[in-house]
Amino acid sequence: MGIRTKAPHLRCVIYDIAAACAVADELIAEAGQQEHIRTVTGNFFDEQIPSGADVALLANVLHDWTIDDCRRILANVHHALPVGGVLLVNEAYFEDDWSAGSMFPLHQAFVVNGEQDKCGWQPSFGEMESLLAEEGFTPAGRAHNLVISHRA
Amino acid sequence: MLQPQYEDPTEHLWSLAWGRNISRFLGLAIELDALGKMGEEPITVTEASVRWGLPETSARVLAQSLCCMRILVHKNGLLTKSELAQNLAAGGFLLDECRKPLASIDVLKGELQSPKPQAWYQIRDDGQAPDDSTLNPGFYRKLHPIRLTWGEQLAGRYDFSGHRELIDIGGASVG
Repeated sequence: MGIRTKAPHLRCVIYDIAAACAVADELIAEAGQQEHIRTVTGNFFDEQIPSGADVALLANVLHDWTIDDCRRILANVHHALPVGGVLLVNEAYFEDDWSAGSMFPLHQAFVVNGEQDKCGWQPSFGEMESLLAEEGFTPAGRAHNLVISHRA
Repeated sequence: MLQPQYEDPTEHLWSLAWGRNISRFLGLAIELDALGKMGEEPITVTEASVRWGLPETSARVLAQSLCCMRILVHKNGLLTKSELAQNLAAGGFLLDECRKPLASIDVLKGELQSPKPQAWYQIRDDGQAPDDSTLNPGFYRKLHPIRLTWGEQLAGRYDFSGHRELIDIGGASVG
């Protein structure tokens, strides 16, 4: 909904687990946006992400998961997007030299960090671009908190 | 007290060294429900001291610290909630979320030595929504005002005019 305030022509699909979609449906209805935004319930690990979109957004998602999990998610996104489609990965990125605001390590420690196979990671811009390139996306630019890539 | 200096290469270290005390101001404001007790109308420091149950000198110190955090605005002798506080504190979300790291600030060593599995791994391992009190419909709803702001910001950084359909993956839970 926030994106559509500046891009009102855009049709939007929200793909998420059932509990989150249920709340999203309520908020979409309250905002009268049902004609423009719909939800699809699913799990990006086990189910095929709906195709049809020409731009996909992963916002504050990948940092929650292990690198191997990220590869699974990105493979599903790759399958859903057409060749040339755009993937936007929004994260609170470290710079390539791992400099960042002093809050970043605390976020790492409490929000992302976890047991070996059940923890996330807070990437730098370059680390995300490398991962995307390995999974079939061509990095095409950086903006604040954003890595832009094209599905190869 | 040393003041942070512009272009001081040690400024980030001073910020860290003093950060724990700064966080205590935020913690006290949450404990006192300082924002909630302010109401919607501008008030003086004297009135704030009554509502917060603090001596006026202390209320002034707390108010100044909250102004530095951009939670309050001081203008013409009156204190008001900042636009940030009004927009992002919807449903108590902002301060609720601040309460968690404040509570955990003393357990950093333990968190790093013995990290616990994150709750959302139930999505991957069990295909189910996380069994975690913070990841529930109320949480998703409280996050909504912030997500609107994030979405507007994102659309300001990327030009969507050449696209017709966006799929937001995981966008209803946290993203």
